Amino acid sequence: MNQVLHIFKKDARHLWPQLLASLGFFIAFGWVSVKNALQTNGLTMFIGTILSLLVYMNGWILTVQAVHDESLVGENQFWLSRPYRWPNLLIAKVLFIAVFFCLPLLLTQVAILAGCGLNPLASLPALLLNMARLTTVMLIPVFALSVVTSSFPRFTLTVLAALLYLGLLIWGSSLLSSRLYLNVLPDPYSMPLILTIFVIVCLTAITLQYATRSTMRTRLTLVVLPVCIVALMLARPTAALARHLYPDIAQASQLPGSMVFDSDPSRQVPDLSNGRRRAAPNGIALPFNFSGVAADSIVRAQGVQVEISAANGLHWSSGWQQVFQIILPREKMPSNIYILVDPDFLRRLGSTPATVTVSLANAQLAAGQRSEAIAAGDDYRLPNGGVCAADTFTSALRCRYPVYTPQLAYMTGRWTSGPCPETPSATPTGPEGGVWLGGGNSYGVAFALSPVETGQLQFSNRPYGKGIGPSFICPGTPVSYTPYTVVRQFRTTQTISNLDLTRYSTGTVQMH
Amino acid sequence: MTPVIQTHNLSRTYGRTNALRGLNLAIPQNSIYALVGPNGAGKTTIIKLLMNILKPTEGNADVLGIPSTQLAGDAFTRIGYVSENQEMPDWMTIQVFLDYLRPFYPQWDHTALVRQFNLPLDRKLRHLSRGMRMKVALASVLAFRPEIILLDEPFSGLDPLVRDELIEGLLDRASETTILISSHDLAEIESFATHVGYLQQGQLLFSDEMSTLSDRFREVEITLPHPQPLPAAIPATWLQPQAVGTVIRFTHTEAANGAASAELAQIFPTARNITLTPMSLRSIFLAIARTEAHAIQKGREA
Repeated sequence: MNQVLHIFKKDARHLWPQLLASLGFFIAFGWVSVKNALQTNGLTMFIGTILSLLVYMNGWILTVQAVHDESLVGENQFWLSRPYRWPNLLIAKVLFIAVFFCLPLLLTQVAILAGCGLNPLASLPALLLNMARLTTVMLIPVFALSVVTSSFPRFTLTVLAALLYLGLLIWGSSLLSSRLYLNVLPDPYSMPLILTIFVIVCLTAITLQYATRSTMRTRLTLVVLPVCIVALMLARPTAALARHLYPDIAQASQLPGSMVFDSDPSRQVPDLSNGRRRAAPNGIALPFNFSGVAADSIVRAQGVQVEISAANGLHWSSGWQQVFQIILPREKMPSNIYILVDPDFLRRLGSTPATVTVSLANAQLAAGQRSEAIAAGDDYRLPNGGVCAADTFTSALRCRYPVYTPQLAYMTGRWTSGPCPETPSATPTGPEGGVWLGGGNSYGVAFALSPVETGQLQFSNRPYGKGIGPSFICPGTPVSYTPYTVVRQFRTTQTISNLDLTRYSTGTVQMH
Repeated sequence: MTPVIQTHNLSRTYGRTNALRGLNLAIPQNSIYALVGPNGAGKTTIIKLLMNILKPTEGNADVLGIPSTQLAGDAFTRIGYVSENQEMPDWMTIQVFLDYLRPFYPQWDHTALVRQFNLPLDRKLRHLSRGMRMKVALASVLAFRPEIILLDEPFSGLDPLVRDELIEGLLDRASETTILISSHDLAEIESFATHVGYLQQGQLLFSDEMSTLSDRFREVEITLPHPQPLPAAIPATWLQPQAVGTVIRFTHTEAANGAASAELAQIFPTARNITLTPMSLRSIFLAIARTEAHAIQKGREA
């Protein structure tokens, strides 16, 4: 441990100018982040973006410099012939990054939450998890590249080469299979598995390099890693996952609602202004009517898969594509499902009648305990820990949440476009409206530095873009809040015959 | 005496280049072993293999009884290494550098060395001259009293004054340590080395005690009554034999015992005069190097 602290102190002494600059970046970033979370402002948003970049770069530069202070590449470094123990050296570097990057960032995030009126202590586990994710994705790869380079210019060149390599790999794999990008049914296994492999391989490479300084072997390990990840993504057994996560419900009586294709010509994709169809279609928009969803629940379509076949033998099957569509408990709710389709196939198919089998992977959510409260003060505090306030810049109710977007919930209340009266009114006179909030991002702000997730609420009965004033939930206004939780996941399938897909195709318009 | 450094068939290749081929070396305790050879002979490679900075392609080496490939951590409290190309933490002053290294070693004392080498403690390493950097490097090794010191071309490019200071510093510790020093310049090490090995193109041509070497090698001059060609079968112990008129000259590599004169008299019975002259170390090495170069040339022509 003495050796660890000794090396740590030496690094801190060497890099103190950078550490001072780093402190300045954190303070500025924290201040601007609070400003941005409380009120939208173009200038502070721009400054916030620049500061985020500076904080990231600062973390990368500190990591690279700390590692390169005892470079592992080369034969002439003084420390190679000194009694360094490699585990101590590695721990000293990790400690340096933890103390001078992770800890200040964590403290900055705590300060940002507090500055935004959110409870930092309640969010501490989420902040720590978020920090682990941030470190995994942002710092470990930089650490891994630092151990196989000897100087900052070489590191920079290696990063550029790595980006080029990744670009070529992704381009090559896209030629190999479009499934890489389209086969993205949300599942709880793939991303953790890929991240785990990524972390294990990077940490193995780092440890291997510290233990043996076999630079070529370590570089080879790092070169092979992206190939493995792309292969894993290509080989992902999405069909099996879909069967496992979204079991097919055979009996209509067990379905929480019905999905019926709407053949009404008025719901076809309209012709272009000159009466022609799209010359470069890349997808289809199929109109459906959903009905029969129970009053106390909703259905959320999460993934869609389509199989298209025609009498002339043409056949095409998509992978699972991600959709995010809430189906409400309302009689005959019309909605379009958008599906990306191979443009070549659509061109070859033309207007030939086709049989289309659409499968939807759905989640059924049940309404939880509805809570009602009287809004107090300028900020309306949500039961899930979020805080909402009128945003004068965007004319919307702007909510901020600690670290994660909250679970899906429906909020109702009477909002007003004018300033709130001096004395709270017992009977607000504004229009009654409802809005969905949360439920989108389960990964929180893992890849952002600010721990505050913000979102705007546009009430259901509020017209968009009319240039009206901001929404206010005035003090004294009764507001209801109903959370929704997933109770089951299931798959539904519908087959539609004799469909002319040119009537439903979407895509870019080619000018002739 | 038990060797403190021993290698067995130690080899190292870089791609298709053999930097070191089958080195068998034994360096006795408390010796000052000079590893001599031209640039590119493989001297630095040997030292880096012994320090576990490089891994051998074949063979093995033991340093203080530890396989060189396992040298790490605490083992370096017993081994010191100084190289002309060593990268130092240039941002440190001499004082900070010495203070930084101190806690790594169980025993450390640089006070006398700072005085002896006249080191400006407040000067940053990046601002030091080459000679001063070598003095700091040597002081940072002598300070922990290692059992073995490996020096790779420590005097290269230094002025005589600094070189003498470094040698003096080394010799002060010679009684308690074993020193392996590499050099391409014989004159640098001739005065204080106890053993010498000659390396050329990755091969150790010989390794011997300095005193034995001086005894073994003689410059031979034989004067004959009439011009005479060289004998058909030239012994392997004759290097660079030449016949010029009535005189035959060569370097005898095994002239340590008195039998050499008698042997020569037997081969050249009509010789008027046979003289065996002791050689300087420089002449010995030149003779060996030229013979090897000639053999290589012949090998290429064949």
